[in-house]
Amino acid sequence: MGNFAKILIALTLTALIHIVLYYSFWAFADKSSKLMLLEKELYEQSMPLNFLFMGDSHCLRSVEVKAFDNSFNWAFYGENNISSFYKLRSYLNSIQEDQYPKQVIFPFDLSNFTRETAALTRNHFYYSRKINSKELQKVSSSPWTVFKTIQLYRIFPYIEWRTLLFKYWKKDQKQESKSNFSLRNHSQEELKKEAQHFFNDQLKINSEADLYDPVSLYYFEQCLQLCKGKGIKAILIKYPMHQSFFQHLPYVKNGQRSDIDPVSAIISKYTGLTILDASGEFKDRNELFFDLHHMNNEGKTVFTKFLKNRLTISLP
Amino acid sequence: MGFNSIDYYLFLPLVVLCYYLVPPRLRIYLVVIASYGFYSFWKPLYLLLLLASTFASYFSGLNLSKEKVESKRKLWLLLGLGTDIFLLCYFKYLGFFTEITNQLTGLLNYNGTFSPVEMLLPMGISFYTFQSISYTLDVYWGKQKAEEKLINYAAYISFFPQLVAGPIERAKDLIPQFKKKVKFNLSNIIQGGQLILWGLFKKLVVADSLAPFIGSVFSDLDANKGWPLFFACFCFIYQVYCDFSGYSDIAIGSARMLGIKLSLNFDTPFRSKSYSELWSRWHISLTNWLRDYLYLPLGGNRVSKTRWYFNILFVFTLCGLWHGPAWTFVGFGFLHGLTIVLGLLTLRLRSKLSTAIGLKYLPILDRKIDQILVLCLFAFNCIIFRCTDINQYFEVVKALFTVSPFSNFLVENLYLIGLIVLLELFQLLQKKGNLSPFNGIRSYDFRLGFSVFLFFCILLLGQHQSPGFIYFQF
Repeated sequence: MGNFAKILIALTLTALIHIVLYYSFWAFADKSSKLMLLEKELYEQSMPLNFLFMGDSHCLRSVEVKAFDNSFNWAFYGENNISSFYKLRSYLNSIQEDQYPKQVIFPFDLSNFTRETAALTRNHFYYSRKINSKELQKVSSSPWTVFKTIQLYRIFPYIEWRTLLFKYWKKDQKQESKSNFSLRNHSQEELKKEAQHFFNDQLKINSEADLYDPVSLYYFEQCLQLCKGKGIKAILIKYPMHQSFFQHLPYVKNGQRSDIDPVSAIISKYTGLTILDASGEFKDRNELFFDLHHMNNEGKTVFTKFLKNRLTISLP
Repeated sequence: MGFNSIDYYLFLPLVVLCYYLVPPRLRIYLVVIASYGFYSFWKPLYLLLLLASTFASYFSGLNLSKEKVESKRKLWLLLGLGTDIFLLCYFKYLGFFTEITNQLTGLLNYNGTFSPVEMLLPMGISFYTFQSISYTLDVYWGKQKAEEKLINYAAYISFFPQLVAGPIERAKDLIPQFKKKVKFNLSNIIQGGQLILWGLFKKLVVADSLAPFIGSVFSDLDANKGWPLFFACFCFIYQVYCDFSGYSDIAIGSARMLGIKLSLNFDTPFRSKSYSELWSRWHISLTNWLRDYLYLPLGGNRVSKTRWYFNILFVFTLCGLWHGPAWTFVGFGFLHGLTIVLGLLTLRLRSKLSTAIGLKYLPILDRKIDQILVLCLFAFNCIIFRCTDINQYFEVVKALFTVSPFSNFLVENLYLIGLIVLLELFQLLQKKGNLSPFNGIRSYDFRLGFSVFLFFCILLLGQHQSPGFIYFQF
C-alpha cells in the first residue's frame, strides 16, 4: 500500500475517532454535566415560575431557592451577562408565553461587568450552542476571536471532558465544601491579601478600563430588554460582599466612583425595575462569608430570609 | 499570532499552499511577504525596526565585502553592528540601564535621577538582531560571502518560523536553502506536521499543565516550603524545556513544510552527564552563537586558566542578560557560568571520588547519578529565572531548604508526574541528534498512528486557554 493511501487511512481514522468522541461526549454530558442536568430540571418545574434566578456563583451560594415557592435557581459558576442572556433567551423561546416566569432576577455586582468576567473561560461546550455567534461578533471588539472560539468548542466539545468528570474527581465536592468555612478567624492582613488576589489576579483589574467591559454592559441591557419585550418583571440584586471587598475596591474613593457608573446609566433607562443593593448589608458579619465575595452556608440561610422578606415587601 | 493559536494553523497551510503553487522564482517574495505579515499581526509599527536591522546589516555586508581599506571596513562594521546593538539596547535594556544609573547616582549621593522608562519590547528583537550581527561579523571575517540580493537577505532575517524565538540561524545555512528550487515533497509536509504535533504536545499538554501548579507554589511559599517547592522547581525546568523546545519544534516543522531545514535547538538536554554537555544540548543555536561571536573572540580556552574561567563567566552572564533586562536574568547567567567553572575546577577531584567509591566499574549507575546531579543543579540554578526579583529568589531558596513533612502533594499532583513520565517515555524513542521521537519509529504505519495519537492527546489533554510561549518575551 502506498504512503498516500496510508495517509488517507490515517485521516479517515482521525475523523472516525473524532465522531466517536463527539457523540460519546454528548451522551455522557447529558447525564453528567451539571449545566445540562440543571437545564433539564428547569424544564421539569411547573410553569410559570415565580422567580427565576440567573447569575453566577454569588447567586448560587447566596440563595436557597427552596425558600421561594415555585422558583428556580439557574445561576452557575463562572456565568457572565453574555451567557446568561443567551441561556435565558433560548429558554424563553422554547416555551409558551403563558409559561414565562413572572420574575427574573439578575445580578449587577461589580464582578459581573469586568473585562475578565466577560471572557468566558469554562463550559464553552454548553454555552457555545446557545450563543448566536454573529450577534456576539457584531458587538465584540475582536469578532474573529469570538468566531474561532465558538467554532472550536462546537466542533470539538470533548476538549472540555474534564468538567464532566468533576463529580468523579471530587472537585465539585471540594467546591461545595468551601461553604462550610468562614472568615471568622481571618486576620486583616489575610483579608487584604485575599482582596488583592481577587482584584489583581482573578478579576485582573489593572486599569479603570478593566472594570466595565462594553460587551458585558451591552448584554446586561439586552437581558433587561428581553424581559421588557416578553412582559417579564426584572429584579436586579447586588449580592452581599464582605467589608474587605469595599476596603480594597480599586478606583473607588470613599465608596464612590468619581465618574458616572455605566450600570446605573443603563438601569435609569428602564422603569418598573426592582433594585436591591444588598452588597453592604452583611459586610461586618465575618461568620457569613467564606471569602470576600461569597457567602457560606450560614450566610446563605440568613440572606435567603432577608431576600424573601425584601422581595415580599417590594413586590405587589 | 502565536504558534499555539488557531490563526497560525490557518496561516501556515495557506502559506505552504501558495508556496508550492507560485513559480519557484517568486517563492522568496512570498516568504518575505508572509514573514512580514506574520510579524505585523503583533504590532505593525515595530516592523520598521525589523526593516532597519535588515537594511543596515545588508548594506554594511555588501560594503564590507567590496571595501578593501581596513579603516573603512571597520566603519561599515560599526554601522551594521551598531544598528543592531542600538536597537537591542534601546528597546530592551534602556529601562534596566536607567535603573542601574539611578541606583549608582543614589549610591554616590547625586540628586539627579532619570525617569523610569517603560518600553514595549518588540517581539523577537533578541533573535533577529543576533542573526543580523552574526551575518555582519561573518562577512567581516571573510567566513561568509555578502548576499547580493536584498530579498534573499530579508528572507533570512525575517523568516517567520524562526523570527520570533529562534532557532538563531546562520546566513550560510539558511540563505542557500532559499535559493534552491524545492519541489513539492509529501514527506516534507508529513515530517513537518509530525514535528508540529510533537511541539504542540510538549507545549499545550506538558508545559501548560505544569504552569498553574508552579504558579501556585511560587505565589504561596509559606504553604509550600520544602518538598512541594522542590518538586515545583523540577516541574519548572520541564515547563521551560517543553515550552521552548515545543516552540522550536513547531518552528522547525513549519520550515520543513516549505522544504527548509532549520537547525536542532534542543537535543534531549536532560540526558546530559555534565553541565557543559547540558549547555551544548540546551538552546543550541544561542550557545553556538555565543561560542562563535563572544567566547572564541575572547580567546576561548586557549588562554590562561584564570582568563578561561573569566571568559566562561562573562559569556554566561551576558547570556543571562540576553534573556531579559533584570538582575534575576544576570544572576541566572552567572550561576550557570559559575557551575561550569566549579565543575572544571573539581573535575579531577570528582573523578578520583568516583573511582574511590567504585562507580568507575558501574558505568550505567555512574551515568545515571551524573544525569540526576546535573538535573538537580540545573533545576536549582533556574529558580532565579522564575523569580521576579533577587529578594524573592532568596526567599525561595530559604523556603526550599526548610525541612517539611513529606506530605501527599505527590499524590495530589499525580497527573503532572504522569505527564512528565509520558514525555520521558516518548523521548526514549528520540536518539541523540534527532528532532523528535518520530525519528526513532522505523515503521511508517506506526509513525502515522503516533501522529493520530498525539493529535488526540493535544485535544483531550491540552490546555486550550493556553498563554503564549515563555521565550516570546525575549
